[in-house]
Amino acid sequence: MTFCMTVNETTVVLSSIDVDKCLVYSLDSGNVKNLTDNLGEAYKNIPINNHDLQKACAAFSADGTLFAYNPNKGKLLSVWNTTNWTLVENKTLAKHATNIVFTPKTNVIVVGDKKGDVYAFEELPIRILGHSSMILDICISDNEKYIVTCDNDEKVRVSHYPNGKNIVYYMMGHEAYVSGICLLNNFVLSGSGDNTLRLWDFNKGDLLDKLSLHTPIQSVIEIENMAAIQLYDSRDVHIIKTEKKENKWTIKNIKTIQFENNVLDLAVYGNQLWILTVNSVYKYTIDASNEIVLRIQDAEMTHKLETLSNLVKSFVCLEKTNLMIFLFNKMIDKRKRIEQYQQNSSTPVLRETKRLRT
Amino acid sequence: MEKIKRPLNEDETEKQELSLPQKKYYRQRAHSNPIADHDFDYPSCPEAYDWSTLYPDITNEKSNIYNKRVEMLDIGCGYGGLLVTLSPMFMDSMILGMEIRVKVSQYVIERIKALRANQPNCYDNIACIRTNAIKYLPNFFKKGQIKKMFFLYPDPHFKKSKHKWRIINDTTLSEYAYVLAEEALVYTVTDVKDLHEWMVKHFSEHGLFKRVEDDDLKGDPVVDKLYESSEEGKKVTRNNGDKFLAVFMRIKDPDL
Repeated sequence: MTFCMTVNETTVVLSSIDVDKCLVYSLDSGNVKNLTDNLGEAYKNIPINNHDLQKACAAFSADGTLFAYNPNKGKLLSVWNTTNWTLVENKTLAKHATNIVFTPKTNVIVVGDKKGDVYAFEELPIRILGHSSMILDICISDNEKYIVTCDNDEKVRVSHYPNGKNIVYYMMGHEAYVSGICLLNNFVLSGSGDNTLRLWDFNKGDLLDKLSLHTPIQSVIEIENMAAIQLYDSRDVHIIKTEKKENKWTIKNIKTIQFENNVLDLAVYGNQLWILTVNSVYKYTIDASNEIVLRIQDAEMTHKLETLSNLVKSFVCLEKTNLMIFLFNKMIDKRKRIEQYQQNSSTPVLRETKRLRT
Repeated sequence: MEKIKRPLNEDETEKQELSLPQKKYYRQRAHSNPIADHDFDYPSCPEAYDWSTLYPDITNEKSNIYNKRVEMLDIGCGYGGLLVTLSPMFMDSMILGMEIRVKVSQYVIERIKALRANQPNCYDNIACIRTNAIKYLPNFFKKGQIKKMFFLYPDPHFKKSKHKWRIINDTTLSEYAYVLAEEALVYTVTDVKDLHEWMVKHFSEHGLFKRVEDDDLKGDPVVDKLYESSEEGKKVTRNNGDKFLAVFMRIKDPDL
């Protein structure tokens, strides 16, 4: 994903790795500021990086006062004060970031990277935990006692926070990269390239339910105790919730919204769901108790969304730097190899293939 | 010059009949990249694995290992010397060797097959799979399942740039701690002092392990076997090399 969108009360931020822009749009004044222009002379002199796989990530702190994102060049974590949009600090990362989150209470920035490490950036960076492959998503529980991470190796992991070396559970079962996770009450919801959403018991680590959406899942985001699901190379966004049926917790798809173009990213602020497509931005509000998903298209908002859409159109999207395309292709290649193996399979001992279904 | 064949003595005749696999056909370069994506056969979760293909006796009600699960792990089991040594010592425990090199793991699999065929009701509690322990331990084992874990003569990966390939590092130790039960033991032996110090440092600093003092190891029947049972161990002895042993215990998280 070389695009990302992040929203707080008064601002929408659109960041693109490929064109190296991070545009801050003020919903009050309508002003636009490109943060990447303000990273200093030294930054400008670095040549643009359009060969590494990168993922645009950005986050607001829970109180909205801080903003952090990763610009295109130099493995930086750029931290901004949102009251007057001034640069607080540029921190150097060991590897390219794949995910940035803030801890919900203490406003510490937590970054996952391509090597599989997760660092917390307090005074000095502290390594919280490590996976044996790329981190794809991070969630921290509201009480800041647990951190949930998922990776390119089909794993969802719950660890203690800040002592992430102590693993509470591995939630095993996905059969491709796990692209997104979110926390819903006492559950972990995970979405994967294997097309399935899975619901796990946070306290016991058991699988409660799974739901196939027939397309690889690209991201999962919590909104009002429900979740919005973005799919790989798709125009659809699914809204799902958890439901107790005959004493068992299940995943229920309550609505599918289809857009004119492919969806690039989702952002949530409170009950607002923002959707970024190839050439537009949409805003919805969600009323969880009545399961109502409402599109906001009053005159004032329509004007703002148009301005945002025009900003998006200036972005380009390179395929070779797109991490999600890379992961998808890798998964398809692996499946092909397995099929080949199975066709010319020799003795069972020699077969080194991964089982597709168990 | 042609060698003159002498008649085989009783012991040797028996050996030939067993038709054990010969190591010379299963040699492979000692180093393997554990981070690269090889294609392995692994279950998506522990429940999805059919252990009876490796341990047929697991379904036999009369067997010592009926309905049990793997409790001991030899990571990087090489040619399987330790597995074969431990098998009669722990008749009631299932012991699994994990080896990343294709040919070497095939050798162990063939060896166990031959041993079982020739000595019925023995060696039913050991097996070997080709897998990458750095990536797939949680695919095979549940939390706290393992009671003993062995790392005998792991690849030292001398170059600094290859240190991340070492089987003991911060990342892997957390996974080992996850599959290990509290008070479970981890045995490490190496002939490389630098690697020994590296392992002791990482285990000691991790927080979920504590070193077992040498005095407390005296009663442990496993310890003596560690030095000589593996092929690598015998080689070091032949060359009069040093051997460094360190044993660690999985402890409760002191902060919880």
